[in-house]
Amino acid sequence: MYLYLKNTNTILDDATTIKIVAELTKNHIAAEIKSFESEAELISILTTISKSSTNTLVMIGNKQDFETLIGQVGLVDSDIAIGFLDINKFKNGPKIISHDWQQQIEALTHRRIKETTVYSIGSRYFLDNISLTFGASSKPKPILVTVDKVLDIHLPICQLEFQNNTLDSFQGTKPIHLSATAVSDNKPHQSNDLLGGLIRRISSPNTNVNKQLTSLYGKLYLVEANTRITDNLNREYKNSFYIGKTSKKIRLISKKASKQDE
Amino acid sequence: MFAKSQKGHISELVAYSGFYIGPEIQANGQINTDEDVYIDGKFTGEISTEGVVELGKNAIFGGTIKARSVILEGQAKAEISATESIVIAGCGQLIGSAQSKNISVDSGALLKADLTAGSS
Repeated sequence: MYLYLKNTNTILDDATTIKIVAELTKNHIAAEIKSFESEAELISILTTISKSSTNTLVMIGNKQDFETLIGQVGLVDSDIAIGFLDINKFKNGPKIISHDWQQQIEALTHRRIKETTVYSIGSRYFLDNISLTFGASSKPKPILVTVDKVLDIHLPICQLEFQNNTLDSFQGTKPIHLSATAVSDNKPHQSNDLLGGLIRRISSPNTNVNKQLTSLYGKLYLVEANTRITDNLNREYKNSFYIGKTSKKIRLISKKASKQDE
Repeated sequence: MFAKSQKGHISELVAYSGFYIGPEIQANGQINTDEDVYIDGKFTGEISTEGVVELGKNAIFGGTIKARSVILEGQAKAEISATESIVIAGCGQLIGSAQSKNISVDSGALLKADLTAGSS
């Protein structure tokens, strides 16, 4: 009872698609592939999925597509396993089956489950990390980040990155690491804007790009700003929202099953 | 969590993964941690850690500090208590009190504080 999802904006050539479907069929896990074009369409699909008809939901795409699915995982029944077929592991071409790709198919076939806790950011979720950028404002105010309700930090327009820190010794009490980095302008961060960033650095070597403003650990963050707030997937947020560890566990298809570490 | 310079100050680094509040950043409240803490901005409140607290040259601090060791290079209006040592650098200024097993004050430091040194 598998169901596959694919973002139509993620380019996948016909030969690779055929090969993927062939591999899934060979392993008896081929099923319907539903396409979506936007987060809103994905939400619409997820609300129709029930655990009586689907026990494994798999995103075929890139890491950003998988993060988009995780963002809305609150709409997925907790009993449904979540998988990811990374098409970048197919980049050697359909004639070469890489070890990574074989491992992915194997993991899906055998449904090796790893229970993982997700973190919330506003009304969405994330697994490992997420970054926020802030737009320009005619009347800019400092960004206010409140940490665990006891620490207020006032920041200029910058980039915030929140990282799941459960592997660190703090995992019990302060599992989220926050790093604030200065930006030289207020252009929204583009996750693939490596060339733009490089050009900016070369042309303006003394800018504040990547200058660290703050670094700290917490369990619950409240972010407040009077500007447009977007994340690394260009999804928008309200002017005030929480980021924190949740009690929600999801069942992730993993290369090897393991029990929850927390 | 911080790599140390040869001088042993955590301020010698470019990037930080512990508690760090940079120059021109303002914060207030409580920091309660096991990690080293480096403040180089404006902070008002309480810091409690089992690690080292360093107030950098740009730091303006008001409140209390309880730590293993404290290094003061900026301005503090504070009650400081450290189990091992307190170092007030030549560019440091302290108004308040400092209590620790070892206290050292470099030439040039500005003090208007009660100092209590030695094991109790």
